[in-house]
Amino acid sequence: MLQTNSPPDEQHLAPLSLEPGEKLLFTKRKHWYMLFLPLFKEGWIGIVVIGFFYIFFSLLSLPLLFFFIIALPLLLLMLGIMGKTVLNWYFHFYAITTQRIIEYCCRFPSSRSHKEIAFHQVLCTEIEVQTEGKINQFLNKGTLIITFNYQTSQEEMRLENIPSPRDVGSQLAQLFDMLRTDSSEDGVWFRAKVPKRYFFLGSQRGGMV
Amino acid sequence: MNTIIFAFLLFNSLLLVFAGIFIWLLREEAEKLAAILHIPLPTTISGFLRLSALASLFSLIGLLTLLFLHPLIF
Repeated sequence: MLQTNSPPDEQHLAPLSLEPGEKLLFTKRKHWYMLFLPLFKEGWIGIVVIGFFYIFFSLLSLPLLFFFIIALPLLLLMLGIMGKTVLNWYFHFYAITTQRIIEYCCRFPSSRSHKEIAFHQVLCTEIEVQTEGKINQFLNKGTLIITFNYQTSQEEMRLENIPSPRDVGSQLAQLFDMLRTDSSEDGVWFRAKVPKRYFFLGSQRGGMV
Repeated sequence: MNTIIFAFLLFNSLLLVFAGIFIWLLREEAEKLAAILHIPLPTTISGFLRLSALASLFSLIGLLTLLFLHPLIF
């Protein structure tokens, strides 16, 4: 489930209790690059610590068995920490349904958070795509910022470091445009930061104008 | 010397127990959450955690053996 481009399946978000008639459109996790960097860092720290013990035991001319005795728990501890990082990445996702956006975040072992914005309570005013830097452009990774207006306040929903943010942004803009009931109002502004261009999704259905 | 080796082995056994329990709890929690959310936990992730937990168990057995037999070995 919840793989990028996976077919919609309402079963996957059953505990997040989809309303009758509500359909899961798509789900997004953070880009795999966001997993690669911490894993690389943790692996590197582990190798340095184990290497330090190897040099230490070599300098003291102790049997290699002592090195293995201390390296094994350290290695397993490192694997545990890396496993935790993978699970944190796997269980942090954004789900977009026809009625709301849900962000589910889990920090192992015990922290859980769940944020959702229901479309019928708000008016989406702007969808902004931020892709900063050549690496992010190359990896097609960026942050999608959706600005919602409540009656008295404004709130932002950030879909951070997701893959293909422009595609997701345009899909969302089309969704909001379809959901908009008052056709006299302006449409949804979809702004792509790199390159700096603005698209206006008009009040008629059927893509960008 | 024997006391130092004993303390060293004991400390590492405890570290191994901690690592094993941590990995095992992580796996349990992940499977529980996957069941609640109806998300299939990929076999690579669950297999990795299961193997790590097993590795820590076998390492602990080895280390405890060393702990009890160290006067004969060293």
